[in-house]
Amino acid sequence: MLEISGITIRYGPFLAVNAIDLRVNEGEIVGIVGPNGAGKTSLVKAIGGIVRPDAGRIVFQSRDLSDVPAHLRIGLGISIVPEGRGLFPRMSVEENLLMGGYALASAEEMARNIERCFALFPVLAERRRQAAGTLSGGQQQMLAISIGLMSTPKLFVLDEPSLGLAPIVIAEIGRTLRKLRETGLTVLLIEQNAKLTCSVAQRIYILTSGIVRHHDTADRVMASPEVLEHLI
Amino acid sequence: MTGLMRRWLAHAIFALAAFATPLLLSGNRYFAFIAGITFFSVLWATGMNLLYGYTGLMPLMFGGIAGISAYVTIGLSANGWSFWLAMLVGSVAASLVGIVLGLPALRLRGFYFTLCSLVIQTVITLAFVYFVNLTNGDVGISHIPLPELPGGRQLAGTAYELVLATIAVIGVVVLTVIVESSFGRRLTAIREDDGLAETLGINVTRQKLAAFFVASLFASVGGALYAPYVGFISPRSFDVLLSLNIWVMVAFGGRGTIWGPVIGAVILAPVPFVLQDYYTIKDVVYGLLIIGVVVLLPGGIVGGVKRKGRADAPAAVAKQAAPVR
Repeated sequence: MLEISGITIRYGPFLAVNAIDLRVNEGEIVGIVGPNGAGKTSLVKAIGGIVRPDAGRIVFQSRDLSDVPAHLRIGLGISIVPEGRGLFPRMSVEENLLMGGYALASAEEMARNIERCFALFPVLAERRRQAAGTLSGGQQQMLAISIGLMSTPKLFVLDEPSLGLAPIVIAEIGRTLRKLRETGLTVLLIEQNAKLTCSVAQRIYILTSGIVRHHDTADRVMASPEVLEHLI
Repeated sequence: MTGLMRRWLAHAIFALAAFATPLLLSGNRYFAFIAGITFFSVLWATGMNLLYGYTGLMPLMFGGIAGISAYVTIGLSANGWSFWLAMLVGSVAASLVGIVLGLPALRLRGFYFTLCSLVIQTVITLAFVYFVNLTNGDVGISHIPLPELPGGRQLAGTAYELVLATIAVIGVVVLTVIVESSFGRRLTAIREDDGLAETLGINVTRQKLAAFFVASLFASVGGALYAPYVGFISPRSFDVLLSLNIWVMVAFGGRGTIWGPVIGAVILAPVPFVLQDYYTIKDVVYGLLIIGVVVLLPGGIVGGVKRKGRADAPAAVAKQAAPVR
């Protein structure tokens, strides 16, 4: 579904991502694990079209994305939950969800997706009129995930959903992601938290200093923690 | 529903006050003139609020666009055009010129947009000085004739102030309609997080352009009406100080609220007249006011009142409301 080949991203003299190859098949959850500064977020930005790669190609459903501007990529079915809280703090929960479904053509689908998000996270329904910035950290991340789901994506990209959250909330995010996996959604999960990623994903890429160091199934990465420890 | 009714109730009260003021002050031309200038400020502050309050852009070329409109309108009227047609053409032309000049700036965000708009404002002011045959340069244009009404009478005195009141009321209503529309929601989303807005499918540059055009119309309609009302314009009438004064009104009253900038304009527009005898310290007072607002009332008067009203809002939100971006 998503095929990344030889992507290189430079910021001036700094090489953030160095010729990465990566592939996500339909219906699969793929994890990218790596420490700070490994180039994870740069990779996400390249997929979203916010950063233009210096070399390489990103192909989504056999379509080359290099000439697709950022605001049109969601229409192809790529939805990204950015690092930090991907929401509009001074808009209400409901308005945030409406913005999430901005690319949708039908009002019916909008209403259906809002109901689905409320079913997934009932607390959001209770707080639909509340300003998003006044939610707790965990609720904000739930809202950010919901915003990402509003556009009925084919590929769901999450950048560090566990960042700054309490373990109990991280566990809940993990449960949600497994629930989403059962619906057949294709997910690319970018994380520092290797445990969470391995519990959700089928395949893992380990990224450090802009290079893929290791690539294996989640089970085998879990089975040999010394590899992870050695690399991260 | 009650919220909706209350909202339009406020508009009705504002309209009533706006129309009553020129009538009540009609016995004293000086006070009526202050009211007239205040109406310009309300219109301009409301227009800048669309950009600064709701879109997150601080446009320092606002005054320059008003100036372009004023010069075009006066030029066309002097060549025999009806004032009202000239005003229409001048306003649209100035807004279009503003967009062309602003195109590079609109690709920038936050502080960089502000810097770029400052440069554009400077260029516009220099152009006013340079094209002497069109603008009469630094000398300015005086004895600008009053607009003619159908029937051959001139628009003057209290009637002029009533027209200005109407324009100010229309401006506030237009802003309210925009803010409550999906266009307004897109702009708010851009203000809150333009990267996320873009990822969600909003063409950020196009939306900013549309907001910029509408706000420029506020500036240029005001500019066109300002010239004959005051009777004299020069490059200094529309320099960066005008943009800054309007910005202070918006920030002081509370950006991102419908009524904050209106209140800011009503309080601050008369200040120069009050301080006329103390013109040496006028700028100092204004400077202190700006600093005071930024430090003490980051959300402006209305923002400050609102925040008191909802004390449970965490500091993160209060921080978001800080005007420096």
